[in-house]
Amino acid sequence: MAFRNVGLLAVLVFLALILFALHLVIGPVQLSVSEMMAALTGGPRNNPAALIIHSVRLPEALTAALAGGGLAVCGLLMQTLFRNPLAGPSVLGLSSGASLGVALLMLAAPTALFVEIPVDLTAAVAAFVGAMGVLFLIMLADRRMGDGVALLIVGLMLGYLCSALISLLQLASAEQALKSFVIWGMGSFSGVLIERLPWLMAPVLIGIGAAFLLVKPLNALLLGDNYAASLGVHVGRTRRWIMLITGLLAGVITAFCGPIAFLGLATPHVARGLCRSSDHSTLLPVTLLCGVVLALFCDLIIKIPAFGAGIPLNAITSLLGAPVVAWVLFSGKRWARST
Amino acid sequence: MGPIHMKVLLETRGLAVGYHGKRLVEGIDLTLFAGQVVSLLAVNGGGKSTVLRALTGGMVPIEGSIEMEGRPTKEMTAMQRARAWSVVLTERPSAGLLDVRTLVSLGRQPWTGHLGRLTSADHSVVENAMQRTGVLQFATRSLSTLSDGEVQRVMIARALAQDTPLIILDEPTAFLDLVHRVGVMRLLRNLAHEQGKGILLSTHDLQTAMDLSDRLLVIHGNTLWSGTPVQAKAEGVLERTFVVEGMRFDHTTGAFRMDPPAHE
Repeated sequence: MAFRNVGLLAVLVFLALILFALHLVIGPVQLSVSEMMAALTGGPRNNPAALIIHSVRLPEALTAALAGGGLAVCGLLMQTLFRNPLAGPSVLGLSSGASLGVALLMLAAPTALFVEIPVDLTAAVAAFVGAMGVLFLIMLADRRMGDGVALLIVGLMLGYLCSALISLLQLASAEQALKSFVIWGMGSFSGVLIERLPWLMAPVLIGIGAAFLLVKPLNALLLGDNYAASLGVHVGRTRRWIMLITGLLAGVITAFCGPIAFLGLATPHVARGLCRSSDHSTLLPVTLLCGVVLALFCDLIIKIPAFGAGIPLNAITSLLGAPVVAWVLFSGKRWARST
Repeated sequence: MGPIHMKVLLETRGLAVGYHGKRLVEGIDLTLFAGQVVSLLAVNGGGKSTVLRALTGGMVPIEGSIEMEGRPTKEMTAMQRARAWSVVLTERPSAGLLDVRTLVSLGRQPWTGHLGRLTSADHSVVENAMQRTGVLQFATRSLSTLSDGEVQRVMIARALAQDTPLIILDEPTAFLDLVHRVGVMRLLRNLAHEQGKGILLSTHDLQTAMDLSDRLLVIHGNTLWSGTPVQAKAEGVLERTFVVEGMRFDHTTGAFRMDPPAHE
């Protein structure tokens, strides 16, 4: 790895830490840096500042960091696997699949106990199953067609299909359940309780760790399946691993945070632009850190009272993400040839 | 080439290849030696790619055996195969942002550990491969900025970095102009004669293949002819396979000529 990229990683880590700290002090109740430090370094637990940090802001900042990093890695894996710059958890219908899973749970089973609590482990399981279902269908289609553009269209169609089923469910569902589901769909990093955090953290960290173990076959896949196979890569096995990791990341994150738009799709492009490389040993850590930074940044914007707190997270990620995707399309010389 | 290079690399016996049980080419008995350039010729759709795919393990032959250095290839693991032969394919990699050096380094994958980290020995193999193929001067450029001929050299450098006794190339000179065609063929010839590599390539460029190959494999109908360019000329193999109406084979130059169009 070049010195340039080590410097880049250092800058990104620094940015992430600054944003993380800002997250802890900024909010409806402004806290000071010394109050933050006291709360983090094991000061008295029962004063209001420590309580706010531990029960509200720390879980939210950690959730944002995990979700941002996880979705970014997920997007990168999808883009490499499908050799398509527009692949990502939301474009390929993974998020829609997860949404359908959660909709079935929240809307079609209104008598169940967990309906009132959108963020729940049951919802996580439902979202995971939904995401994996869509991913499986896409892989089936990929096996038959092996054509990136056709596959994206299949992903979009599956997305529409899921949306259609969701709206049918919405039509027939109770008001309270519907409201929970709509709010879940706006995306949020603030709904994860501190005691639920391990259930988000463990799968995301495992998924990201597993992605780092795939750096070598991911690089081989850049050459195409046939070249990768000629280098001794078990292409089918690698595909299945990537499928499992992306399904795990997208499913779990969507379950806890709702379907977050654009982060997974746009972040790898930001990372490629920054490190000017497709080599995953550089690109993967840069993408991960960019995801953490962007998610913390987006979440910070909606928390700053001046901008009007309460803006849905997805509004911000889309406002930032859509221009990035457009930029990729218009300046797409590097990728245009590849699709 | 001296006898030192006459080591047998790949050998097939009674090989039949095709799709869905339909035999495209059968009775293939061929032997590839180290230090030789062998060109596989056929009319379009004659089965060149199918034969190469069967030889490289991309498809299962209908019958017959393939041995690499005395060992049946169907018993080899993916990693053992990756260390026995490298390939240059017709598809252009989509790795737009990969620079040339990183791409050539990917050739080291069969030899590196789990994380693919390169040792200093790996680095020197990569540099050597780039130098031999003449791609060192654009080592830091990204693949998307290179011409077709340059990309082909980079892919050959990648195969060379894989450090296998045998290199198999599918149409390495397609889409190249005459200068680059001859350049690539001369490069392959040097790799065979100086480094002792076994080179098998498919091509439809008869002229360059005749001039620069040590041996020819010609698919005629559903059989495979094997011999030297001189034998091919003497036996009229190329005329038999390739001459169509309005074309004749010039025995003095060994080239094909077009008949002038008949008067109306």
